[in-house]
Amino acid sequence: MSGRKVSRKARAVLVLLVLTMLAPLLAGCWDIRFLDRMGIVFAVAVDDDLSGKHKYKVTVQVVLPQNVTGGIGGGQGQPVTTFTETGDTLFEALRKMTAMTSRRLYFSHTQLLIIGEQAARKGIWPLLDLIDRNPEVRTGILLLIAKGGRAEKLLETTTMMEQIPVQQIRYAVNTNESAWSQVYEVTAQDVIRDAVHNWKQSAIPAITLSGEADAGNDRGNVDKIKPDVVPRLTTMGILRDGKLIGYMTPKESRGLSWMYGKFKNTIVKVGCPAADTPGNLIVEILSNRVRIHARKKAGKELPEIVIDLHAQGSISEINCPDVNVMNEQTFKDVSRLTEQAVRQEIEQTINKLQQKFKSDALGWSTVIYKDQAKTWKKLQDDWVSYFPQTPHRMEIEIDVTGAGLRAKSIVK
Amino acid sequence: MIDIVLPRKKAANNKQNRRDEATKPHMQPYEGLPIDVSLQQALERIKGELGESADLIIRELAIGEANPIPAAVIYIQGLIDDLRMNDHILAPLQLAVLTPPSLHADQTVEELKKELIHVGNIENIAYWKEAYQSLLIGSVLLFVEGLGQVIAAGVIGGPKRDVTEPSTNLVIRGPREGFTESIRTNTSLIRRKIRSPKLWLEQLTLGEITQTPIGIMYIQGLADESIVQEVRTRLKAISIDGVLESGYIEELISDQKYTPFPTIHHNERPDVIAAGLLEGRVAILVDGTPFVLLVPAVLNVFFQAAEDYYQRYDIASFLRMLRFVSFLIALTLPSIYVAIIGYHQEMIPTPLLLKLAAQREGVPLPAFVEAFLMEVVFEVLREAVVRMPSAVGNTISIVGGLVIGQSVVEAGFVSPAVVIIVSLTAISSFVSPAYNLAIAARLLRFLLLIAAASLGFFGVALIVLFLILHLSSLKSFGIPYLKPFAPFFWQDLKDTFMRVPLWRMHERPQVLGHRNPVRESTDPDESQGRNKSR
Repeated sequence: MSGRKVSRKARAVLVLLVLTMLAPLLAGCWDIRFLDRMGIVFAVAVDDDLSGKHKYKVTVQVVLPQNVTGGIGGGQGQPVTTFTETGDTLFEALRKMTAMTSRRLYFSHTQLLIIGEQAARKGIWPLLDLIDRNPEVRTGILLLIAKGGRAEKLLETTTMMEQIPVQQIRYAVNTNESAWSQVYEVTAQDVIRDAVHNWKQSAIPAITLSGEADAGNDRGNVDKIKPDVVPRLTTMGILRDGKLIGYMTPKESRGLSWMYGKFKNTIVKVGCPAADTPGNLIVEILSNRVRIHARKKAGKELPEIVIDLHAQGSISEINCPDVNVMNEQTFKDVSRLTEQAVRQEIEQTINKLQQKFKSDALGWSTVIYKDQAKTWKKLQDDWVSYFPQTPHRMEIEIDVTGAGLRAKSIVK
Repeated sequence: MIDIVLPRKKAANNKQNRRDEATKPHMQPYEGLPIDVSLQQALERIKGELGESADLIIRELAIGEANPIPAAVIYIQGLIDDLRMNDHILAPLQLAVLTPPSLHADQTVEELKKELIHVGNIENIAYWKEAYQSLLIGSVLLFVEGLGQVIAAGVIGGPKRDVTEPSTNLVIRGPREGFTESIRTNTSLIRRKIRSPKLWLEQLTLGEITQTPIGIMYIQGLADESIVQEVRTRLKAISIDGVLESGYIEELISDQKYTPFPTIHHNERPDVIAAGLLEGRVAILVDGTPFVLLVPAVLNVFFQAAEDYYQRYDIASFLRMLRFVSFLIALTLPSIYVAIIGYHQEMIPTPLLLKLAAQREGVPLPAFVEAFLMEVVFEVLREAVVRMPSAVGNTISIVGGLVIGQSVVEAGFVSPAVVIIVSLTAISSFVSPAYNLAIAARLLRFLLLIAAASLGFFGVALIVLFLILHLSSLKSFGIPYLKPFAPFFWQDLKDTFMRVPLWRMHERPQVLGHRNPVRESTDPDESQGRNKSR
């Protein structure tokens, strides 16, 4: 009896063993992809096709890992290469590239989608469908507009600080957002989300080449201490219905960051507290919190947008004589000045968006939709014409405390 | 199906029969055979039975002065302590000035025992089977003409290894002694740790030919009686030619035969065994090996090291967690690497991907083959080092480390990442305090590797799921293997991922389900002098 029991168990184990060994054969290694058979695409640039045959001219920047130095295998050549192809859609152009690439292009690590200005003016929505639909491409990739030029040029420019040019651009956006905040990161996902209702309009950071645009294509550019050309972030580009309509000025662009509370850290330049004194004083903003509400106004059709901004900062540079940081009043004065400066920045931003661009890149539509759902129903269909008239009120409170390690400035 | 099963069953039966034939003659014929009354006959018989073996010593003598009785002292050279035999058995017998006792058997025996044999451990034996057994354990047999009985005096001696520091389960802080090959030494080592009359030792003999003494040790009142009974039953069911190591027993009495996971704990440290006994476990000692078995053993036990309890609870808890993590690394790291490289490239942080891709550039083998080969190479190296004479061992490690580690990478056959992965895995597998659990990880690693190569993380998840199911189906002497995790015992978690302070472990583990739950009642405040300030 026990003998049979054991043999049945043994049989079960044997069958299981055979099955396990067969499983790999059956699966045929499923969708295995060999790392050394992939071309890792770091960035995609889209321009309009100048020849007019196709709609887009797409450039991809592919990393050549063996040339990325550091550790074993660091080679001599360029760390990246580009391929360019035309097509009527993004995917068509990308797949046509297989005529040139020895490896299958791989998009999971793609970090940037740079759109040439001309292409952006014609509309960016057609480019984003693939990004959202294809499981391989991350929707978190950053969008950039190549201001006043062609996106492909940006991918063909060597950079100094990062070996891979795309990394330089990508981290520049990040660094700028957290320390100065003239631009902030906008991902494909953000734009896709905006596009669903098309109430809120998108803003996308712009980038340009500073220097001789054509000098960046070889190592000569980075062999110099001062490179001939570097990619340089400019300001936010404003879209309406998925089409680029213009750019903000640097101050307005930062006003937009203020409204979204995007930055970790930025600085505000204000005049000296004492009247008629030349010079400046820099306040570093260390934390901020923004709340935007829509409040119904009695007797008015449009609700009022209330921007409630609290920030903390400290004086980090004093180029004024006679600023006494030992005096509490000084901080109050500086706080008031900072509030004014910030108010001005934001005011300019709102003004530009309402009057010139007539594009709700501020997201007020969503604010009203959330706070005043009934009112929004009435406004929704004609929001384009309501938006420029929407009133707003700012409640800004900035506490400036602390003045760094030094008390009295040496500036006389 | 039946066609396949039948022949196999037949074969098994044949084997069974053959084994019975082989083992039976060894002790069976002596069963119930009485000792011959005639001394000469008895001596002839014993000589014949032992094939006149050279180490069988028969010393004939006469007891008494006036009317001497012929007698013989018989022993196996090397098994007994010569000096003690001379002083306490031979000398008194030869110097005896006894009045000739009547040849009434019982009286003679009593007389002899009372007056002439100055040894503590004495028994009367009336049958040949027992006589042979005690002769071969190391007793001196005294045959007396006309008695029909044998007096066996235990003066076990001969070469024996000293108690030394064990070579496995090393500790930085803790007792240095380890078990030896002698069961008696081993029981004494345990007794010296637990001086309780309730520490009980049962002894039996296993192995039809080897007649190996086996000891079952437990603390009466702490150990669950049903477990002790189960141990007895299982041990008695064993029928085998020889028991040369406790591994034989372990394999024969395990609950589940087909599993890579050990369900019986073994250790060569008396303190570990004593701790197990105090928790209510049962120890099985086997003569001839320093490895003592401890049952029941749940998975958690294999992560506990002796030192956990000798050093502070904070570092002990940290090490405990480290061991669990290392076990997981040893089990899964190569498969995770293969799965990520082959299927889930999107999961790797970009800079790491670039590094890995750069390493993979120009490597001729797929990641799986690479990892698999390197794992096999490592296993070969490890086995070589274990089996080689220790003088050559260093050469192996140099050749292994240098040739495999460096040259293979420099030649571009294997990417450096795989070498790192394999070494990390190897080191992690040595963290485990229980070597037999590390073996489970060692074997399953290959299974996981194949699954990862064919199905990616999906395959790894499948195998891990299968393993969890398998683990929860295991039992050790009726105790679920995953206790106290499943079934869940909150109280017992104190000694799993963490080792809480001793003053928080008031109760014995419920895992064993015994009757006497309270282990200590130290009031931490008092014992640590916090109240003494006044």
